[in-house]
Amino acid sequence: MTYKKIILLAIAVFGLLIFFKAEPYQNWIDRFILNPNTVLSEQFTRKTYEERKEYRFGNLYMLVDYIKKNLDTTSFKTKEPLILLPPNDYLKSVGVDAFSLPEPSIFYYHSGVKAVWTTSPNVEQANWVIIPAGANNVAFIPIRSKEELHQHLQTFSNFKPTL
Amino acid sequence: MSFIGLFTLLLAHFITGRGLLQLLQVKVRLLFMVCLSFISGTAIASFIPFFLELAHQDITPISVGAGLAVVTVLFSIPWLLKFKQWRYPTMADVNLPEIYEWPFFAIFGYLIFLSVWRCYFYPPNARDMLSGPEVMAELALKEKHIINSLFTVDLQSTNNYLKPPFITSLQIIYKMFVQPVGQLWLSVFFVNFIVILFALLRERLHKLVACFALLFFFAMPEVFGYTYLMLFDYSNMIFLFLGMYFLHQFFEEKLNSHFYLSVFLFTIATYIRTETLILIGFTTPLLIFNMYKDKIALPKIALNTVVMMAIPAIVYFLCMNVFVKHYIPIKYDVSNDINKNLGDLSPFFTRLSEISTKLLFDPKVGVIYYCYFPQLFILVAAIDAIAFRKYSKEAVTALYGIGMVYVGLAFIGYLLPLADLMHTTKRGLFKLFPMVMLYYRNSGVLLYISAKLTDWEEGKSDTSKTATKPLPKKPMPAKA
Repeated sequence: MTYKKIILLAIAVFGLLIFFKAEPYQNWIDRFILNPNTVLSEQFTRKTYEERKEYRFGNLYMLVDYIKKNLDTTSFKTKEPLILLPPNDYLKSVGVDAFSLPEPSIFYYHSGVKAVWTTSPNVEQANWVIIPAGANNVAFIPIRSKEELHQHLQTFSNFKPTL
Repeated sequence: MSFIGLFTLLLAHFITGRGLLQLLQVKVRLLFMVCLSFISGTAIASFIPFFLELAHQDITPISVGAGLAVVTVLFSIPWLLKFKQWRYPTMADVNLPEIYEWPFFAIFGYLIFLSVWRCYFYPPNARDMLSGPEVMAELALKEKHIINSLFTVDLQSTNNYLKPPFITSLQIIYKMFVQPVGQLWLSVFFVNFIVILFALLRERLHKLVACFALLFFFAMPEVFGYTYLMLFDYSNMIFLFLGMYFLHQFFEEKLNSHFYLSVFLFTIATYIRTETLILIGFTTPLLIFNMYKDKIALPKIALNTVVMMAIPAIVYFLCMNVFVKHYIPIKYDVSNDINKNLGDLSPFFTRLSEISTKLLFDPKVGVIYYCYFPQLFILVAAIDAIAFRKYSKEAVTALYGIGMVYVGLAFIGYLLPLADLMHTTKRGLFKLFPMVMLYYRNSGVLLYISAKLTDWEEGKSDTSKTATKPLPKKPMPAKA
């Protein structure tokens, strides 16, 4: 009886080889299962929650971290920081395309800091803004007056906020 | 990560689920019972933070822990009262895999490990989560309420905060007691569901055929992805499928316990995605037909039909008419989302056609999402239709389930224009696939191959009789 099980084993192995040789399955294995970008050994070294978030969200996480640190250390203290997010299309138009800014709810999730779009009802209360600062770089600066705020809104006015 | 927290939660889920099965007097095989207990218990736990919020109570580790403890103790009573009838696993329950199953087990094991690892490792990043349940859960940990400061942020770009609090609640529990990412509850559902699915296949098909069938299921990239990408659809698929399975068990064995369990599972499916209520509505003709065929009195048929719709409808009401309407501080009227031109049926037929042409059988998109799973089903169903032409009652239920999901999703797309093809319908299609697996274990051609293989393996010479042997009357013989 054992030889029959060995034959079935051979059929199983042969069947599996054919299965994973088929293009869509091979693509799936290559892209999502054995993808070098998701190598387990590298992930095993990232133990803390912060490290995992950095790994998962990349540039966006670094930006959020930078904003949080800036808010903690800046001399421009605001009771309730409210950040004006420039439209992503605007950022792309000036050469910042390494990341997209999320919508206000997701920005709040990542940073714990409230943000507004240019179309938000409370945009007039914005007291910080993210602006481009060279190729694929942004800066986070305070808005010190209504005039400054309106200047920023004017700069962004040709672009609609998008996801 | 707190292993003690995880272990305690798993124990609580198991006891709660086991108690529910005892309460409903559902008797299934040991492995099936264990997996079903975990799944049911986890689903019951998901109501705790939700009910705390409804009762305007603070959501803290103490209140949630107390809620879990109370629920676990209450559900354990029916089980503990029957402790004299407890049956402990013996070596006879251990069905060691054959040598030719090991390569498959290695692959399944690796894929399961990968899925659980990714659930543990990756913080959630689906937009639908980050702008809804996940951020609500994260803030609830700090602010002690599901309705929290998120609603002071501009939410014009999202409506994900309107989703039922199933994921929010489970995220709160797992973030509180296990790890900041939460999310491991999804692995509890996934692993137990896969074991159930495999057990169902292996019960009737030859082990090699069952392994290949499960491999096709595993290797749908889109479906496998959602075993670690937290969203509603994988869990919704599990509960709708199990509901259909136990509804069929009710047709077979005429036990009310199966019917009530089926209603419970449908209720959870509705709690996860409220539009599932429409699919349950589409299932009622199957219930009425089967009960009528079994010459059951009309009042009983009417009662069961009402129960099957009413209990999920109560949860729908609780989510949409109580929670969303009276707790969420943003006005929302579901009627605004309904198609204003219901007289025009063309969107229904367009969606019906697009499900096949743009998703399942699209040579590019379909193959990337589902590989050859849909084609294999068509092939098997066609061979059955041409060469075998005999359908067991369970095969009919499975085919009805496939049709119900297919037509139901098109109907949802027609009724609610926001339910778009490439997101809502695409993920809604997950519900088709376990129904296909249920069909496979009744497929004439697969049973024929299985019988031939079994006879050859066991050294029987005349395979002609066993190859067409009738299906076992009771696929899941009761064992207490």
